[in-house]
Amino acid sequence: MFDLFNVICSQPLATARRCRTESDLIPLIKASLLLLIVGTSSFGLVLGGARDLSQALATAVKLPLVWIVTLALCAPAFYAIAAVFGQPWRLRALLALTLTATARASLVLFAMLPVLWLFSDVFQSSSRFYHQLTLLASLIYATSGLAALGVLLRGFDRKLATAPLLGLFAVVFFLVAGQTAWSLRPFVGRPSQAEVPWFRNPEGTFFEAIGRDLDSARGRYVHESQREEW
Amino acid sequence: MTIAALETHGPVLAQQKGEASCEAAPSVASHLLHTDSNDPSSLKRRLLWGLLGLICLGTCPELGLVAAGHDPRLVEFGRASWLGTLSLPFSAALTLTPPLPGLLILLSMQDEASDLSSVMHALSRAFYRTGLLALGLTPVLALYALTGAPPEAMTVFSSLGYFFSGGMALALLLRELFFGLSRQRKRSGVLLLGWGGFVSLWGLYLYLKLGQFV
Repeated sequence: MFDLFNVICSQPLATARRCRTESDLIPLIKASLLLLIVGTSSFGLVLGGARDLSQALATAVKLPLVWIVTLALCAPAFYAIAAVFGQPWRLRALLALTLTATARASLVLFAMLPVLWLFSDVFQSSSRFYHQLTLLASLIYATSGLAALGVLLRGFDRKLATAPLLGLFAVVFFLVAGQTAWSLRPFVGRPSQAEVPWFRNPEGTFFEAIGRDLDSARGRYVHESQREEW
Repeated sequence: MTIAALETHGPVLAQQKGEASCEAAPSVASHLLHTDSNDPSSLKRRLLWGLLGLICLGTCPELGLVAAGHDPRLVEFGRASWLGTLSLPFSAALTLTPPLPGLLILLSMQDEASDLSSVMHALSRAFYRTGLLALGLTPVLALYALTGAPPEAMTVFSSLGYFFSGGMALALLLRELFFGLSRQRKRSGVLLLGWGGFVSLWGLYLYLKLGQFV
C-alpha cells in the first residue's frame, strides 16, 4: 500500500499511464480512496476544530463527502467531453484518473495541515479570524488543485488540441465542487452564531454567494430582509 | 478526399492515431463515434443515445426543481411529461435536418460530391455528441436544481447546457465536413461557415419557439 502512496505522490506520469492502460486498477483505486478520506478528513478536523469539537467532526465528515460527490457528478460529464474530443477513455479509466488526481490533492492538503493548524492557533483572537481562515483554507485547496492537475495533464497527450478538453474539465469540476461545497456548508461556522447547524438551508447558487462575499469584502452588507425583497 | 471518403477512412485514421498515442481500450462512445461509423446498428444506437441525453437534459433539472420544492405547477399539470420531455430532441433534430438539403445542393454546385448516407451518419454523430454532452451535464444541472438554485437560474443553466452541447456538436460536424472537402477549399469552407452560422440562428429560433409551447 505504501508503494502505491509513493507512486500517487511522486510519479504522476506512471499513475496516469496505469489508469490509461487500466492495469491493476483496483489496488490503485483503494489506495486513492484511502488517501482522499484521510487527507480531507484530517484537513476538516483542523479547519472545523478552529471553532469547537463538534464542528471539527462535522467538517471531517463533510469534506471527503464534497470530493466524492463532486467526482461522482463530474464523471459522466468528463466521459462525454473526452469522447466528443476524440479521446478513447473508458469510464472506469477516467474515474480512476480523476480519483488518483484527487488523492494527490488530498496528500497536499495533508502536507499543509500544520500551516492551517498554526494559523488557526495564533490568529484565533484576531477580529477577522473567520475571513482569514476561510481565505487560507481556499488558498490551500487551490494549491492542492494544482497537484491534481499534474496527474490529469499527464493523462492526455500534450498537444494544443487537448487544452480545451482540460479547460472544460476544470470548468465542470469548478462548477460541481463549488456548488457541492456550498450545499454542504458550514465548514467553519460564523463567529456571530452561537450554535452552528450541520447543514444550512439551500440559499441559491454559490455564484450568488461569491457576489455577496465580494460585496461584503467591500463593506456592502445585505441583510436577510433586503435579500428576501430582492 | 470527398465527404464519403472521410466517413469511411477519417474515423478509422483518427482511431488508429488515438491508439498509437494511448493504449486504453476504446470506450463505447469512442466506438460509436469512430469504429463502425457507417454501420446501421451504430446509427440506431447513436440516435437513441442522443434522444436519451436530450430527454434527460430537458426533464431532470425540472424534476430536481420539483423535488426541491419549487414550481409545484409542474406536478399539478404534468408539464414535465410530454412536451417538456420531447422539446429538446425535437429542437435538436429540427435544427440540423431542414437546412441539410440546402447544404448538399450548394456543395454539389461547388462540385463537391457527397454521399447521402455518409452525410446522414455524420448528422447522427452530431446528434449523438449533442446527447452525450447533454447526458454528461444533466447530473451537474440536477445538483444545482436540488441544492437551491432558483427556477429562473435553472432555465438559464439548462439553455446554456443545451447550446453548449449543440454548439460543440455543430463545430465538430463542420470540422468533419470541412476536412472532407478536396476542391475549392476556401469557397466551400466559407459556405460551410455560413451554413453553420445559419444553423446556429435557426437553432436559437427553434429553441425559443418550442419553448413558448412548453
